[in-house]
Parts: sequence; C-alpha cells; structure tokens
Amino acid sequence: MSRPPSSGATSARARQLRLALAVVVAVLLPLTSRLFGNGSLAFTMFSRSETYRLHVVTADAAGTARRVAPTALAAAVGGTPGDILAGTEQWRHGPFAGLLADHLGEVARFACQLGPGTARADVTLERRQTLDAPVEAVAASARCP
Amino acid sequence: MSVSRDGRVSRHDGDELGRARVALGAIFLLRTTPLLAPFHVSFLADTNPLLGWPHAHARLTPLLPILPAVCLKALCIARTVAAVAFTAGVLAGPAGVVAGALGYLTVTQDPGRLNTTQHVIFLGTMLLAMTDATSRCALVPAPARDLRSSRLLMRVWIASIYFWAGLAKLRPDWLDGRALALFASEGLVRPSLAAALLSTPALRAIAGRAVALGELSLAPLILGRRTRRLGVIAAFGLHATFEVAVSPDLFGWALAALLLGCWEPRGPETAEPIRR
Repeated sequence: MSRPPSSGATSARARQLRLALAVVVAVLLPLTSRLFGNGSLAFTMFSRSETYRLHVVTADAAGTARRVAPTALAAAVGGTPGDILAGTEQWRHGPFAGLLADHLGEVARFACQLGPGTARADVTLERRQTLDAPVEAVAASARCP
Repeated sequence: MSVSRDGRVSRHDGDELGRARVALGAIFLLRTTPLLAPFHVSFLADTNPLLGWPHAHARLTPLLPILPAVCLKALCIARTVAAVAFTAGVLAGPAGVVAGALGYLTVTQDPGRLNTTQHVIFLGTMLLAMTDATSRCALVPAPARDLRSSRLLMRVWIASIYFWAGLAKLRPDWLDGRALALFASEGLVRPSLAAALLSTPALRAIAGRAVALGELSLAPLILGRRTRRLGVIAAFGLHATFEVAVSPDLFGWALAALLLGCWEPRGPETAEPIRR
C-alpha cells in the first residue's frame, strides 16, 4: 500500500536533507567518535582489544592504607558500574576504559562506601587501547564524608 | 508507486525500504522489551520490564541531565509505543524519530549500557523514518517524497558501517590474529569453531585478515549498482557466520533487517516518484 508522492518542492527538500544526513551519519559521526571520543559510535563491530585494570586503595582517618579488590567494590556498588568494575584486579578485555577514565572520581566515591571508617579512597586505572599500545594510567581520589 | 525513465510504472518500487522498516522495527521491539524473555537470552536480561527502566542500583553520572524515575518510566513506555507505530506504519516518520531518540535518551541514563547493537537499531530507525520507507508496507502510508535519495541514504550508511568496521581492524593485533585469540580465550567464540578455525597463530591470522578484508569489500559491493545484490548476499553470509561463531547480541539481525532495504528490484535504476 502506498500513497501518491508529494510535490516537487517537498521532494527537493527531502533530497537535500537526506544527502546531508548521509554525510553526517556515514562520515562525520563515526569519524568524530573515532578521533575525539572512545569510538563507541564508530561501528568498530566487536573488533576492540582494549584492556584495563584498576587499583583501589582506601585509608582510614589515621592514614592506614588498605588495598581493596575491585571485584569487592563491584559487589558493593552493583548495577552497571559493578559490571564494569568486576574482575579488574587483572587485565580485563572490554570497551569501558574510556568511560571509567571519565568517571574515575565517581569510582573513588563509590569506594568510600566500603567501610564506615574510610576517610579517603584512591583509584588508579591502567588501560591499553590495543594489545600493542602502551599502558596509560589515570588516577583519582575522593575524601569520604 | 514510481515510474522509470522509460515511462514504466512499478507498483512495488521502494517496497524493499518498507520491508526493512518493518523488520528493523521488530528488532527494535525485541531488543527493548521482554518479548524474548521466555528464551532466557543473556544479553536481553536488561529488557525487563523495558530497556532503560530505572533501577535502585548505583550508576555513573550521565552526560545528559538525570531524569526522575517516573519520567524515565514514561519515556520507556512512549519509546515502545512509538516503535510499535513505526513498525506498523502509522505515523511512521515521527514515530521512528521519537522511538530512536528516546532509545538513546533512556539507555544513556545509565552510562555503559549503550552498545553498538542498540546504536545501530536506534540510528537505523531514525534514518528509515526520514525516508520513503514510511510510505511502503504501512497501515497508514505517508506520502512518498523521493525514493532515490531514500535509497541512497540507507545504502551509504549501511556501506559505511562495513567500511568503519573493516578500518577498525586494520591494526597489527587484529591482522596477526592476537585479538581473535583474546576473544577465544575469554570464551567469546563458540569452542568448536575456535578449535577448528583459531587453533594456531597462522589460522588466527588468516581469519583476522579475512574478516577485515571481507568487511572492507562489502562497502563498495553495496554501493555499486551491479554488485549490490552480491554485496547483500555476502553481508548476510558474514552475519550468519558471526552469529554462529560469537552470537553478538542482535547486531547481525539488525544489519540483516537494514540490508533488506538494499535488495532493490532488478532492472534499470528507476526510483523517480511520479510528480503531481
């Protein structure tokens, strides 16, 4: 079932809009995501070999430091952050290192929830964008309420 | 209905876009609602009651403003209603744009949840909604505007997906098979296939290069008029292989739905709507 086409002017506008859209979605969006973002909108089609791991250290008011397993933090936090943090004591394969790097301060604040005596939390993210890429490290800290 | 340059009228010209709209709308609903819950598919666990539904767990701060739970619930329901209308072809243009936009808005409320499959489904829905796919295979067809540019938009976008996918694989750790070894070591590849096709470094390198080359080749095949059907068949084959090997969410099914829109009628490139 189809209806008659609309006028020539409408068709011309539609044609211009679609050509512009084609450039945006086929070129600009993936290119921008690849160059300036984490590539999540660049149609990498499950090819990424990015790996990441996390170090979490909490300290009490006296300054006594305690290393925390990210999987324990993941279990305490739950939800999507928990899924992303689980198992990152070791190098973990997944597309979340960029997201974690952007939200590392929040991860540190999550670590504050691990104990009532926690006064400070420090987290360090290590990531490799491919199996050959150098290790990049990002760190964040939070003072716990 | 459209007319070719030699004056012949084809009642079904453009129906392939309508079929793609119906198929992608169905995939949209399967990926965002619990319709497949009885099958206990692991990657669909987040669709109950609807994808993006608010929960009590912690989440990272989204890029967009945080929506109140009641508002998020309403938007998830509105997204589903819009997706049904898009699929059925009732105000399919606005419905598809709304469904796709709400798809992004609701899922990105929980950063880390949006994946490539959802991106393809949401963006594909919005794009099809802006083409003459809304005037074909629809309960209430919208007026046709320009079939040629409709086809061009979908074709260029689909070809670009394969181009970018192939380009992303042109790096040493993919081409020498180490990335595939990583996938296999994590159990992402069906064990029987991994044992047969990825058991040695040489086999992994062959497989890696074949996938990259295959994806890069699909882009020109789909863009070329004479090679388009071959490209569509090859793409179906590629996705069938991926589906057997790694079952990557509903990604292959979403691309298959979109590829239906590239299966144009044989004969001269008509695609000119009747002007009135």
